[in-house]
Amino acid sequence: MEFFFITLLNSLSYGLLLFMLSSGLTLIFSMMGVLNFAHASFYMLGAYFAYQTGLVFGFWPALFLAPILVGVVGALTERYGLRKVHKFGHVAELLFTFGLAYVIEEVVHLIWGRAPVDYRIPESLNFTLFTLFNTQYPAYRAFMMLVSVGMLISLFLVLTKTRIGMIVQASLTHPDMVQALGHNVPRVFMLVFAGGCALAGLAGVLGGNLFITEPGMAFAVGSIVFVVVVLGGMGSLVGAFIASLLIGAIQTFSVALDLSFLDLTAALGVVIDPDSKWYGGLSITISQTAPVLPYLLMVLMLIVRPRGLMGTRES
Amino acid sequence: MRSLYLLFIAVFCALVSCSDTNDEVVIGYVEGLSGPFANIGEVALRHLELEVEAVNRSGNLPGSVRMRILPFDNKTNPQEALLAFRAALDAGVDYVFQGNSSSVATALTDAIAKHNRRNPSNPVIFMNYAALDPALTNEHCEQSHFRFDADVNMKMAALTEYIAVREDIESVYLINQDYSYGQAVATSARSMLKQKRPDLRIAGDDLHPIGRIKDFSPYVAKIKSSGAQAIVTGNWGSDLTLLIKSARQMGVDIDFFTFNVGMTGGVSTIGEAGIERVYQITNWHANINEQTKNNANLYRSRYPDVFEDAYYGSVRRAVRMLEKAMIESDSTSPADVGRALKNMSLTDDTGLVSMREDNHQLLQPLFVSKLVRISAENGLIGVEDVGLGFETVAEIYAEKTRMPTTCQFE
Repeated sequence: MEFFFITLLNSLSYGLLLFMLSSGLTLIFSMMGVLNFAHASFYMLGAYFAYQTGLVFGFWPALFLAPILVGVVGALTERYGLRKVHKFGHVAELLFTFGLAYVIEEVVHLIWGRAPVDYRIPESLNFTLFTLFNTQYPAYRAFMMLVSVGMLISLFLVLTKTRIGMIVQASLTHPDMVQALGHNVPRVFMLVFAGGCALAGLAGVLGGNLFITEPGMAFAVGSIVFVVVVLGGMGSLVGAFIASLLIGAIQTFSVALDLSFLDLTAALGVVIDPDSKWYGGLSITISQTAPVLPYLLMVLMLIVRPRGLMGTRES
Repeated sequence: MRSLYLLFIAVFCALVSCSDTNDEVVIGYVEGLSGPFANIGEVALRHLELEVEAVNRSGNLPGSVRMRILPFDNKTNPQEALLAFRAALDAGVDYVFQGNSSSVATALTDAIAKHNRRNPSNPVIFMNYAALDPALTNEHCEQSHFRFDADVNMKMAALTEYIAVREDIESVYLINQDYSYGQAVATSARSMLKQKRPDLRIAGDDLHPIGRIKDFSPYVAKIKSSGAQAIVTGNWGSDLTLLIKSARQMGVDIDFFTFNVGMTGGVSTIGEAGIERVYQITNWHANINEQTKNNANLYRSRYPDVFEDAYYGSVRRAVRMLEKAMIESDSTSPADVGRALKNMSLTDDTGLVSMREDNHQLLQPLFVSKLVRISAENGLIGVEDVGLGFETVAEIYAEKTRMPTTCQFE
């Protein structure tokens, strides 16, 4: 019971972090039709910017400054990179973001080195929030959840209740009409791209010190974010939300399952000899395969329902 | 045109041979210098640099030859390591140092043995300072491979001797990286604990992917619910610090029996919570005797600004044995030096260490140490400037660590 609740909380906090990352990606995708391969790199930049600004101003100002800086980098990327490439079609845009991911990684190597940097949880959040049964729950994880949920609500409100949100939504589906009404659609694109990058940056600020800030962190989350977007349905925020929580739960709960094919066969009354050639493969437990499960789920989803959970596009 | 061609050849030869002259021994440091374990690679490189500087200062090598280190990044990946080894060969490397990750070490051992069979006149020697998969000195042993740290079985035998006398520990949890080394740690822990402490319960046995887990909290929750009193882990690098980080955040009140916690990042991550709870089995730590304290201070004064403290006794022993072998054989060629290394002994800061002729495994004293607070009274040297250091709780003599081997050199 204790294990269940603690793991549930852990999976929630991880899932919400994933959502923060993938919401930006899915927004950008639904707006521009571009899968931003460099999205996780903006996550990494968020962590490094927070580390660097945190050295000067402390964690709290960095929490706001770092995502803004990442957003500025995102805006510049869109304005002077993607927009130029746009006229050559989606493949060129895709390749552009693909290359950008490598450029960002090398720049991080050059500036901060290849080893992890010492980006720590601030002392003011480094305490135990509550003790559940007898496991302590760190305040920082709760703080991370709070920020994610706050971000989710404000994103929802901005998109549905404000004028900017309406223009953004309209630009998603009818860019020509919005343009004809006198709005600057390219600027809307730039803002959305910057906003999506800033969200990834915010995830980096929060995830960087909870886990580890190193040049490999973009690569480590990059693939999982795509799983979230594909699973949730390309361009669907609600889908991304559900998929994030789902993947968070799968990754954390599967660790607990020590079942293997051996147990299955044993339940059927077949005992496999430890000297058998098959023993090694069959004794792999679900917990050992935990990191692969999200990808397996993505493959299955693409076979069964290519547009994802809540997606509207077939492609 | 022809003269131009000849000129080009001449210039090219001059360029190539000037990096391969006889007054230099080139040591290739083929290690993970990027990726999740980059920090560990940099730490060991500094240890190597310190020792090589000492060798060059004393100038005792035959023909007043000097040693030079060339680092190559293997990205902690066996395939990349083979490419890095190719690059090292092209740069004229005679001795390869590597230790982080046994899967890389296995690939390098094979590649070097193959190279030596094809180029008997120009062999390469592999100085393994930290890859602990027992296979490297047993079924996969090679003439060209020498190991300067104790293997998994030797360390686990020593560690379980200590766990066996700790009657208060009734259950342990094994958590290890899912590759040859981590699997070897889990297997040897299970079999040795069963033999030495039949009453001890193994509450769990987890293997996780190496270098890929960023959040260990699900594992920690699982360890917690298993009710284990202690963790036994061979994890190293970020896989260890992140595990400790999660355990500490969730307030897990448990003993840690580790192979590598003194390595960079471990002690400062656990902090005060680890006092008298964190143990390690190593061939070296700062507080064994006055000499080891001197060596620790030497490292600190050479690198005043780095985060970590001295950790690898094996790197020093490898370089010092290499130096001694060169002096004794009056040669710097790997073929002669390899013969001299075969049953060499040396008095180092922890006592006599000797290379086994039958499988090229160094025998050296091993130490179980625990994390304690340092103070002016106990005179201990700390790690990572957090006021904590290691204190020996058990010493296992070099000869007692000898294990039977299945090694058959060709």
